[in-house]
Parts: sequence; C-alpha cells; structure tokens
Amino acid sequence: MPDCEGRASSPPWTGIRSLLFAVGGAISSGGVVFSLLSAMLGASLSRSLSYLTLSLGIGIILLALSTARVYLEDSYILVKGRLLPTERYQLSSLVEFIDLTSVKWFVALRRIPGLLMSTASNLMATTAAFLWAYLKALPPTLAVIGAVLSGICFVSLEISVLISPSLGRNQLDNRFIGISSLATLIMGISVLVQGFPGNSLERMATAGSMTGVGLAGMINALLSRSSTWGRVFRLRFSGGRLIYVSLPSLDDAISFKRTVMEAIKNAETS
Amino acid sequence: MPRLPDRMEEVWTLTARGLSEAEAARKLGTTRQAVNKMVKEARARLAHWFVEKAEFLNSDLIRLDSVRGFAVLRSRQLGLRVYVIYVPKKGLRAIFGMEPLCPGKDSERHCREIARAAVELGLVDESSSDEEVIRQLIGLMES
Repeated sequence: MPDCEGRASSPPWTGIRSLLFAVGGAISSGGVVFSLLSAMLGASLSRSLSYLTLSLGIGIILLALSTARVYLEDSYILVKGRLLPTERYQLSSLVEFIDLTSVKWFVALRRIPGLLMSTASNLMATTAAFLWAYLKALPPTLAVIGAVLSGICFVSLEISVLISPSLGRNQLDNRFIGISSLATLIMGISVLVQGFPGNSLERMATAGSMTGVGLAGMINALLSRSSTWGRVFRLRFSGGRLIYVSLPSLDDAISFKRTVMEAIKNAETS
Repeated sequence: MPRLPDRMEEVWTLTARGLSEAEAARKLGTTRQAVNKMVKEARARLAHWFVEKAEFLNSDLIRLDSVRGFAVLRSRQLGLRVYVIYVPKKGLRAIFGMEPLCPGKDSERHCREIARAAVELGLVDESSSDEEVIRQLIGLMES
C-alpha cells in the first residue's frame, strides 16, 4: 500500500482493543470532568491535579494500547498494535466490504458496535462526574437532566475531535448535539440568572460548567462540516473476523480501496 | 455475462440462504471440506465480478457482500446508487436507484429476474409486485 503506508489505521472498535478504548476513554473523560469540577468546588489544587494526572495517565495508557496501524503485505492486511500481537487478514477471504462514510449515519453506528460501546461508557462516566457536582446545588431531577445534557455535550466534543477527521461530523446528527447544547446553555444561564444566595460556590460551579460545555457544544455543532475527506471502511472476512480501517484523506482512501480491489481480483485469478 | 458453474452455484445458493456448510454438505451428499472449498471459490469470484462491474460502470464500491451475493455502487458521473445482485443461472444484474425502479415494459423481465433471485436467495419475502420486492431488496442492501 505504497501511497498510504503508515497513514492507515485501524480504529479500536473490535475485540480486546475496543474494551481498552472504552475503559481508557471513560477513565480519562470522567477523570477530567471530575478534576475540573472538584477544583471549581474548592478542593485543593494539589488534590485536583493528582486526580487529573492519575486519570489522564491511566486513560492515555489504555487508549495508546488500543491503537493500531494497518499495512498491506502481498495479499494480506496486517494490523500492528503496540503491545498486542499483529493480526493478519487474507484478502481472498474478504466476504463483506462497506464504505461507512457513504451510508446513513444510523447505519454506520449500527455497523460499529465498538464505537457505540465506547460512546456509552464515556457518556456514563462524564454524566456521573457532572451529577456528583450538580447534586450539590440543584434538586435531584434537575441535576440528572443537567448532568445528562452536559455529558452529551462533552462526549460530542470528544467524538468531533477524535473521530471527525475519519468518520465525519456529517455522519452524526448535529441537530441532536445542537439541541442538547442549547438546552445545557439555557440551564446554565438560568442558574446564573437566579444568582448565588448563601453558600453559592456549588451553584457557581454548576452554572459555570453548564454554560461552558453548552457553549462549546453549540460552537461544535455550528462549525460542523457538510462533508469529510477521510474514510472508514469495514471489512469482514470469512469466519466472522472483522476490522475497521480509517484513512485520513480522500487520496489515501482511494489508494487503499484500489489496492484492496486489485488484491481481490488477483486472489481470484491466481 | 459471467456466472458460477452449476455445482458451485448450487452450493453457494444454499449457504447464501443461511445453511451451514455441514447442512449444505448433507443436503448435496458431499463432504464439508468440498463445500467449504467451493463456497470460498464462489465468494472470491463474486467479489471479483462486483469489483469489475464497479469499474465497468465507472462507480465507487460502497458495499460488497459476497456471502449474500450483492453490491452497492455509486456512479461517479451521475451520483446515483446502483444495486447489483447475482441472479442464479443468469449472472450479475444491476438496477439504478431512481424512480420508477422498473420503468416500462422493456424492464419487466429484468425486474422479474432480480425479484425472483432476491426471494430465492432468501434476501426478502415474496410480495405482490416485483417492484415491491426490489424496494425491499434495496432497503436490505442499504441497511
């Protein structure tokens, strides 16, 4: 695969790598939110920093372990992970090929259960961290709603930053993200408008974090592009083995697709 | 128009309809190894033909499924979806994703072949009209 050598990667949406990615993402996302909120709620700086360092450290190690590069060697696709063993897939046993960036977003998500799993675990971790802080300032019902909305904003930001170049924001429902962000922003502003009577630190932290993530979510939704240059392919081999291949640019994607198609033709004729 | 040899097609059709290799071997009175070899060969040939079809139609391959024998293409010039299915005993058949799906008398036979193949392969249920079967088939290919 000379034209995209080293630039093709395999997103961690299958097997043990998807588990590492989901757990790593949940620990780092939940840890970042929890550290920031605990700092806002008056915890000592050293304590907040130690939460942040620990969660980011563990999260990044797990996320790094889940990454892998894709190479093409003769008629094999090689997926080389960091500490995990190299996986080999014979192209002649390819039975299904899907260009996930060319199908509807809900079809793409259904075809990537690993992404759904990691998104769900990230959402749960960040929502739990937000809920911990919001319960100190708001009635339980409002705190739950605010925490879920803030969690959606935060995770949508993460997805945009981490996956957008390949899967594309056009594949995710921006209206859903936009509405969630707007609702979070309105909740944050309404807490701000109500003021901070008495012990107001918790309410200030709640209003500040809601307004912050709501605003960031709105900007994210408004800046979304209508198209993407990257591509994600799903390849299924006989025996049910499955890999995803992500290419950062259209040129890489075309080169990869052409190479795979040539390999399929050669495999059949040989 | 390329098509699979009869015996290979018979074996592939059974597995496309959801039979396991062992069940297909029992039904055809042969060994599982022989079935496995023929199914592999049939899937490789189908994948090759779908790729060739995409090139011939100047289209991008969006989806290829050699287990069930279909592919989804997108025409580079027209931007239209093209749905290709392997019709047993006939070869590859394509239909454009535009309304009407089966325009006029000329396409009646073409649509009937595709609809019958889709039902025979167990991809969709039998329906009152060929066009309805094809609509269901397109829904499956896009899902």
